[in-house]
Amino acid sequence: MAHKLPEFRYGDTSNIKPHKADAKLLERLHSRVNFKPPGPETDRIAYFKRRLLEEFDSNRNVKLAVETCVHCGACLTVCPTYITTGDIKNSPVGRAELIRAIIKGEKPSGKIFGKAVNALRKFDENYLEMLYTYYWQCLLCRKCATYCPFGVDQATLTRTVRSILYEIGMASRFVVTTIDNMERTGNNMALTPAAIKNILDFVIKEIKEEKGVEIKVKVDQPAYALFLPSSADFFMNIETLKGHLLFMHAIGMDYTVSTKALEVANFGLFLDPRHLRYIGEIYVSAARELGVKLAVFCECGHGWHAFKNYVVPRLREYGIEGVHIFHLVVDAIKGGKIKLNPEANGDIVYMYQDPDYYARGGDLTEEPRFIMNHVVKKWIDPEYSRGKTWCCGGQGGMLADEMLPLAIQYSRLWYEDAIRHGAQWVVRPCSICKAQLSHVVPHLNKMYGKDLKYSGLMDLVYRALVV
Amino acid sequence: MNIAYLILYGYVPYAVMLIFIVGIVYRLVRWLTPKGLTGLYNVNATVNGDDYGKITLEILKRIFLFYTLPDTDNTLFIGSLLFHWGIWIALIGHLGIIIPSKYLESWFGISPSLHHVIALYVGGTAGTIALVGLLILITRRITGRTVTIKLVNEYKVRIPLTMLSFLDDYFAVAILLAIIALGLAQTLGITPTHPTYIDEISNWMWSLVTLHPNVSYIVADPLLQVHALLAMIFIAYFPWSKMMHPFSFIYISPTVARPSIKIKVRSVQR
Repeated sequence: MAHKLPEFRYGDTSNIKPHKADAKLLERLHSRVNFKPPGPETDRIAYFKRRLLEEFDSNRNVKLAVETCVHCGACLTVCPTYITTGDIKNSPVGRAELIRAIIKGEKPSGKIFGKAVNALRKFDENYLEMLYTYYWQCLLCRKCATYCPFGVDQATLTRTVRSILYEIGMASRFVVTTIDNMERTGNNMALTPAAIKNILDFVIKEIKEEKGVEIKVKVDQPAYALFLPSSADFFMNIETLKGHLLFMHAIGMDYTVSTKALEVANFGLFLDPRHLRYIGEIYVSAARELGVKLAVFCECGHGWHAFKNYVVPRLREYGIEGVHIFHLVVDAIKGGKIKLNPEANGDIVYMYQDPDYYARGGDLTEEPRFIMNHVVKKWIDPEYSRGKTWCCGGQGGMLADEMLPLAIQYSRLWYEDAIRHGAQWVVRPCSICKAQLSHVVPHLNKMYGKDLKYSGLMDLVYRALVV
Repeated sequence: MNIAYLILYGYVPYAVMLIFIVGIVYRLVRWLTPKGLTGLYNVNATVNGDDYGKITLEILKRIFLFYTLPDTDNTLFIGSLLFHWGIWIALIGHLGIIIPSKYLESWFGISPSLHHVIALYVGGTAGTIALVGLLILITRRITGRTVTIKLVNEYKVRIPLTMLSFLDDYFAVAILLAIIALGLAQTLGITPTHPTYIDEISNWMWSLVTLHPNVSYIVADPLLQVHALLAMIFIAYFPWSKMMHPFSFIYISPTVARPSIKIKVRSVQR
């Protein structure tokens, strides 16, 4: 790595924050969603305050977070960012308090009682920078929302605050670049159509060699289904991609990939709702253009959340359905359409760990378990399963290189949960999880003296599929 | 009887009730009118397939069992469970003070002697439970806690509640503590030896209910007067504070938060 990474200090993570996107890059993003940023003469503090108060008045999540929290601290013992760092500002209630203080400062009670009710007196550039730092350390994993007795969801507050920060030119370079790639090329990795076809040819050849079957993949052609893999599957998770393709072949699905939408991720979720929708519309346009009746979404946690809750309702407006590939796998197993041999995945002890957004708002917890039962001989359901799952530590923009010291810390929880139960292989069917694991597992294996391996779930389906 | 006393216990209670009801309605309207939800609407983190049955069960489990708390901090769980159940039972018991004994007997078949037994034992127990729960919560708030999460390593998670507690948090617990303590003092300290004590209070309260306030019944009951005064302050304060937290459940309701999108696998043809 070219730059020296900031050192992790327990109890104070104020030194770790993502690099900021430059004005030119932001300008490109703004123009796509027709956002006119405040001019250089604008007082950023006043702008932030005004926008926050607008959100407070118009956004239920912000209202709920500010007005009902009784400061019980239930979120503190479940939040991976706080448990592993011990910095109270890097916790759900601590983060929310940074915002409450600003809002309190504008309310009568804050004006009368001031500091006693934690009303902020001096909102300056330093405070703004602190907001940027701590709001970009949040994983948006929603574990706090699950445990908070009232369901206060810090993730939605984080998204709101990040969106306002984005408006005043403060946004993670990594996330903005990724969004720009997606909006420009239809995938996060900025793969060109030629590269996509080349990689597909290579993968098809490998499948032929390994499984002895010739599969055909339509590219940009009309079909019954639009297949949406992660562009990272074309680089890092080739085994996952093979699993997707072989399975689609095995069930005889007439499907196509689109070079305009070769992605599952939606980093708009981490930055700004306008970009979430913009990216969502890329999927909708691709599906309509190719005249499909179905969109099949592959492994990605946060992407599934955005897809299921934004894209699927939009697709339905045009008579198109959307499913996760796991739904199809379960359906195929139940209907006896595919044959799986768990022996193919060996005697390894696997552990299935839920990606955050499958479990917390994604309604996708039992399907992968059903598949696990059919593709491996031995697997462990972790103690922290389903809604209790630990985030991989890479979500919400934490995949940025400069965030690695924190990402390693955040990862220790799921990692320790795996090794203490004797798991040798962790299955996390999510593109961000897999990218994060590729970053941190080498460090963690070294730290703990283990040799934990990881993969997606379709990788295992690939090996187990008898064709 | 001076005029201030008459106003305080004869007329202020109406103003307090008005503030309470109007305040709650106002706050709920303010909570419900905003339509803008961040990007993905209000997709609940907690419930998969959030149909009405599951959501109702989820809300009831949260309200009555505090079921998410045992995994976080048992002190918070036990304190909350005791405190809330204690005050709910005690609040229901207050109906027996509002309604005069003659009506209790004719409407519900509760004789005065039975009422006294219930008030003393059930009310006394509920009040004690609430007090113990509240003391646990206050101690936790003042002293902070450290919870250990055991994985391979032990993660000591500090819960520094003093850093996160402000005037409004302290005000709420302080006034509740005083109200509960005074209520208990009357239930356990006065009613066993003064069988007519409950009747004096219910005569006063019933006079308020029937819109003929008569404050002479409680003129010699200083404990009750302070208890009622604090309760009125609390009730008037309720809608304007985070005491509104019980109503946060409307946000989980599918009537407000959009029900989850169901994936239709059966519709897939191949």
